[in-house]
Amino acid sequence: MYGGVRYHIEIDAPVEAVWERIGDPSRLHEWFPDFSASPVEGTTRTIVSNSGVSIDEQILIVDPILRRIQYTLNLPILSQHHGTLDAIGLEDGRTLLMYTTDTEPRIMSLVIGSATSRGLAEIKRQMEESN
Amino acid sequence: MGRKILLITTDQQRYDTLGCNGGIYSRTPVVDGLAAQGIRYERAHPQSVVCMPSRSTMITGQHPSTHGVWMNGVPLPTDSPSIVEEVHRAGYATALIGKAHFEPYMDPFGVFAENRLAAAEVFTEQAAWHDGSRGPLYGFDHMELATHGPAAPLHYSRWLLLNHPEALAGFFPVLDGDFEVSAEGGGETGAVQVKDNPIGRENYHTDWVADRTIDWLEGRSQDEDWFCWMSFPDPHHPWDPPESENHRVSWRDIDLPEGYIASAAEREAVLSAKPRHWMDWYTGRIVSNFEAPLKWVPATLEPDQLAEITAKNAIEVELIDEAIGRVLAMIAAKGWDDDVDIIFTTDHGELGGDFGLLFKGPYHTAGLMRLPLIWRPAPSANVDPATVTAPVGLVDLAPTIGQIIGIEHRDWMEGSALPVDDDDAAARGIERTLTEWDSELFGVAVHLRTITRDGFTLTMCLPGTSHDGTEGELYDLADDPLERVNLWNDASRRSLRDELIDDLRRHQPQAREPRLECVAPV
Repeated sequence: MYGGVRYHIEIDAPVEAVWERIGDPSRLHEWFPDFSASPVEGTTRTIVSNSGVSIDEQILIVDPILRRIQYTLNLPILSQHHGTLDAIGLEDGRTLLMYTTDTEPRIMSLVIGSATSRGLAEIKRQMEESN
Repeated sequence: MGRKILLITTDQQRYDTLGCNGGIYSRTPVVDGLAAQGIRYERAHPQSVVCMPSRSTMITGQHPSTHGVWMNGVPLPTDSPSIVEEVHRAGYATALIGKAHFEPYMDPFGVFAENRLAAAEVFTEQAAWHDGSRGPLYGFDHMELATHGPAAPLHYSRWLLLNHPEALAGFFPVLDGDFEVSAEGGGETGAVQVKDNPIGRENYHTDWVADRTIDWLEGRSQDEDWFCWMSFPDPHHPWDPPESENHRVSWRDIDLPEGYIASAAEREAVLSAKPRHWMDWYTGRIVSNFEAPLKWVPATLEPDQLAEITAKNAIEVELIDEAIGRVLAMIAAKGWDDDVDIIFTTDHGELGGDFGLLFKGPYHTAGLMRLPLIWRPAPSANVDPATVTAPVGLVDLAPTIGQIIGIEHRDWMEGSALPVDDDDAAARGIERTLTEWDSELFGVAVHLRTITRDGFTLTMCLPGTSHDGTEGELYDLADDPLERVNLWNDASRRSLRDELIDDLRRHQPQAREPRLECVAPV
């Protein structure tokens, strides 16, 4: 069964600065607390967890105009997966950062999405501390 | 030297599974004996009918709205208030042996401490506390954890893997190939989540919890103060007790539970008079709780299957009673009994065939809401045996533990110390309990708020995907204990309904802001 979750967070920083931090897929580990490395080769990103587990992802979209990154995880347990991160500038100079993940089986969306939500909280912390 | 405390909890156990509460399927002489010596509560209610929010209420003394664990999968922040931290600070040795479940099990990145302890071969770790200091996780200096089988990365699973790997495959596989809770059937009737488990009784988690509790208690010095939470994972589904024990209760001899309505037409008429999420689950249109198997439709439950589930459940209850007996014998042999308070309860109930339903969900009905609760005060405290009919809640456990130990009532506690009799309850104005449900997952949102007082239970269905905010339930628990007649729309009960709604709204705690995130299904 297909299903998804969505998380969002508002950051007190301009969208250009937020995109500079998240728009480079190889810097994922800098704002994702569960990962220690995220090298990119071609369109393949390898995420390495703090416990040493490596998982490959295909980067599908890096769009600096939409300020969107979309990717899919290469895991045998996932018959389908799309994860999308959108940074949207708000009128007051802040940023809405929204993460959506849809998977089959649906339960995995909650597990993946919750991990990414910790990443959103870390970006917010980093961006607002550097303001 | 103070009074020691043995807090015994089970998981998903109905009120009517104990002999002292009128149960007919299991022999429970040990717990019945505690009830005879102590205080038996006839209206004990959980503040949530699922595990994580309810267990968070036990340790914090707060309603789910306040502690913020609004559903399974929402972790209890380690810096939440905890009565066990207070007990630890008072100089007690503190242990939780068995099922904790303050944090989610589905945790592939090892984010949560409960899931890290076993692999690290430790029994606690340092964490932030409510007052800004640091100490052992939630106040426990020993956590030796287990759940319903070997799936989660807990101490029992690791022990089983290292010592009895052949037993791993004997348990019911909780998740199916889609990572949904499995609807597989087994036993002799094909009953959902039933499996004959070839594991030896001595290696099953019930006896393991008792063994580990005895071992921890043996390590205490004679004069040491201790608080031990012995937390059995059973009789929560799946129903897969050791098959060597099947002889105890034969499903063929089971009279079906009183709450089961044999006639499908009558059953469906009763369900149709309840808010729509009842019938919607019964017919398989929605599932509002991850732990209820997505691919199981309650309307397909056959009487023989219910009988077999009831029998397996009864076997699990008997094994727990015998395991408690072993621990109490050890305590007596140490000469501690006179100074030990024993509290027995569970986190929530089980539908157990009521209205043709099993498991649990957003259904604030007696099967899930009426809990076994027994407090055997330390004999040295000279408290007379009693039966209490006033409504009390699991939110009252933390202040009760505090009172036993001599800790002043903390302002973060929302409950009251349990009354020792009905006069005590009346004198202290103990007259209502509140229960909450909030679920939002994969397009289904259900929100309920319930009050029990004056012999009535009223549930408001707040707006969600199943309700527009106008539906609800009202039952007269004296005249209609099986909750067959919903009085919500009965014009003659309108003033009562309005009074209860007003009381509920006035006492409902404000929801924690910002809301904690649900990060796992369970």
